[in-house]
Amino acid sequence: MTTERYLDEWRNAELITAAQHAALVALVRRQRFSIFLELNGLLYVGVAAIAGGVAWTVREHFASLGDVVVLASLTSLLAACAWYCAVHATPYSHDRVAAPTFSFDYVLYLGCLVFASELTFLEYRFHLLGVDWNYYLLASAAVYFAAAYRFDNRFVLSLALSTLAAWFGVRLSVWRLFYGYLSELTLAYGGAVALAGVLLHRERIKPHFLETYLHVAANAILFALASRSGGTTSLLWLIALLAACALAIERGIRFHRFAFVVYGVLYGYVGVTTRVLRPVLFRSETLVLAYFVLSGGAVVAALVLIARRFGRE
Amino acid sequence: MTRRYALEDEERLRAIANVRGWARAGILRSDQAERLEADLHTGLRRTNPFLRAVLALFTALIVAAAMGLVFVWLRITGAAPSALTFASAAVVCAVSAEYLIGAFRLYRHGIEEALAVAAAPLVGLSALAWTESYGLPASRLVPLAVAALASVAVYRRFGFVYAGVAAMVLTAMALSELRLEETTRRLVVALAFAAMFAAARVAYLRHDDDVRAGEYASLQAAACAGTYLTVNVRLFDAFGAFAWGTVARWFYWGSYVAVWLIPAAGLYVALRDRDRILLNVSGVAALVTFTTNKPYLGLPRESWDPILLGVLLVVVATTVRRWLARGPGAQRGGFTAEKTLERDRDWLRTLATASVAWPQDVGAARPVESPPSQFEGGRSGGAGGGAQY
Repeated sequence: MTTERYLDEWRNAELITAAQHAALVALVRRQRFSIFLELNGLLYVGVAAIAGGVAWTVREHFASLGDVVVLASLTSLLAACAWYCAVHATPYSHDRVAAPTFSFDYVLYLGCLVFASELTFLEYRFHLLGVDWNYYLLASAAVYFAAAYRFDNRFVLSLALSTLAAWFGVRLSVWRLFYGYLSELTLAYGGAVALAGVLLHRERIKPHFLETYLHVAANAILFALASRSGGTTSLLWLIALLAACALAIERGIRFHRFAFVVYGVLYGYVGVTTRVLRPVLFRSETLVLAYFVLSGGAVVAALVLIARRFGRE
Repeated sequence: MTRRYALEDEERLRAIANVRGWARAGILRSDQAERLEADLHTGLRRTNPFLRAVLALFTALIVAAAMGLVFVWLRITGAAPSALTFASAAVVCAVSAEYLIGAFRLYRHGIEEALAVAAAPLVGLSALAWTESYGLPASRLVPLAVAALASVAVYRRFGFVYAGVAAMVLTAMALSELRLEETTRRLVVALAFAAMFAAARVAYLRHDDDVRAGEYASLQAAACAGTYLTVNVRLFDAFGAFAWGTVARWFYWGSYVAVWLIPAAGLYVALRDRDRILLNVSGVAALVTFTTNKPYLGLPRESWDPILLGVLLVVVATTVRRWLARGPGAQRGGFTAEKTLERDRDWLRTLATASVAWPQDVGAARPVESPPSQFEGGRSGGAGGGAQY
């Protein structure tokens, strides 16, 4: 029986109204076929291609073009994007705001990418901040965060989070405090992102952004902990990893966000496995293989329990 | 081959997914959706897609490790014992999948999928061991063909579309093993994909039930992609390892025409049939055609090429959107640029969040002719935050 026949049955049984039936039949028969996603995909790829091409052109041809032409072109493009956003923007709200026009989000995104290119060029050519160039990253991240919140744009929010990650990497290395310790840097970054996301959510400022923050933070924190858990260093890293994984799994189950359950299981398994197998690796292939069979079985059993109790579709 | 699941059950599950989508889009009230879902109950056990993926991953890990353990414990070394062991393992996997489905009514639960799918490469490995033991010529041809047949069997029995796609790829790989000159090889593989496309299309047009038609729509789109990837001679130029040899001049220019015709024909058919997956595959193929056009014609790439392509895409998207929006009821010929289901917005959110993982390479704006900067040394990516900043 096709879906259409189900619809007829439901209408005859008066489970759905005639208007609902008509709307749904149009969808099922594809009499109303949305290409919303495809058009958005074209815009995203288009904007990414333009930004990439701009960066490539500046890099390849700045000598022949000259600083003035490069800066004038980039500034014009940036100004055009800013003008478009300023003219079409709707008033700010703490809650979700729909994009005022179809291409608005992508124009803003392009503007942010061009802004990054222009800053890169400025610093490279004129060395305005010298050794403190990393403040460009912090300033860029601040601009992106402001734009993401002002215009409710997740693409720009992601750009802000990745730029902030870059600043963490550079700035904390400059302090030498964490020099050479990628895990600690990643951990600090993940913690900061999680804290910011939770605080903003608590203040009800764009609460729908929380999940983006948590995805980034969870991956950063769990990656950092898992990468240190397998070494011969303190057992504390492994304990911290297991605690973080347990938290991710518990929160994921509670709020039905099963991606976090996956993060907890995978990072936890990698961390524990590298720790457990390190002493026997290349010594006993039987032990290694038996470990994978037994531990894999244990994980499957646990996941089946979770799936049966919480993850049924 | 008889399907493991009743068609009616699969139709009900598809209807449940539709009902949920319609409720999220606000077309159905939540109480209506609950009632309809209750009516559509099947008794099949499914799970969340994330848990399904991890369950499949760990089941595959167990199968691989268990195979290794058997070989180590029993000290299996010869070709014939290896072939027998792989074949036995394939049988165990297939039987286990059947048992889990029969006993626990699992449906797209990850575990039974991994077990059923694992049977195909295990049968292929068994065939490989046999052919090696007999020293047959072109020894990879037979194992690949056997694995392809096993994948077809898995698809026919369980309805896993990805097993059908794997069968297509394995068939193409098997044909590539034939000792043929480069042009003939490409032609044979492309014709094989075209034949698979035709077969899938005939099946797609023949089935009026949503489940089977959906499966064949995916398979025909995969075959279309396979044909395109085989025909496009300049596709893998950037990846030396995957680059095939040189082809005859007539094939080269014939393929140049084909890489324009295939996406165009695909888009035409997809728009006529309102076939989303073929539309997306053809759209991506069209994009690839644009990006490989210059290499095809032997023209040098310019730094502004991406800008021109990007502007073209933006213009096309905004023009089509405006044209549709100006139509009566914001649609033309049944096409609309409006969002009809929340699922579309979910995809966009996922894309936006995932874009954190592919940092924009705006650091590429750094001029190359200048002397090295004293400020290099950034550690991580991000918007201009790489070591090249």
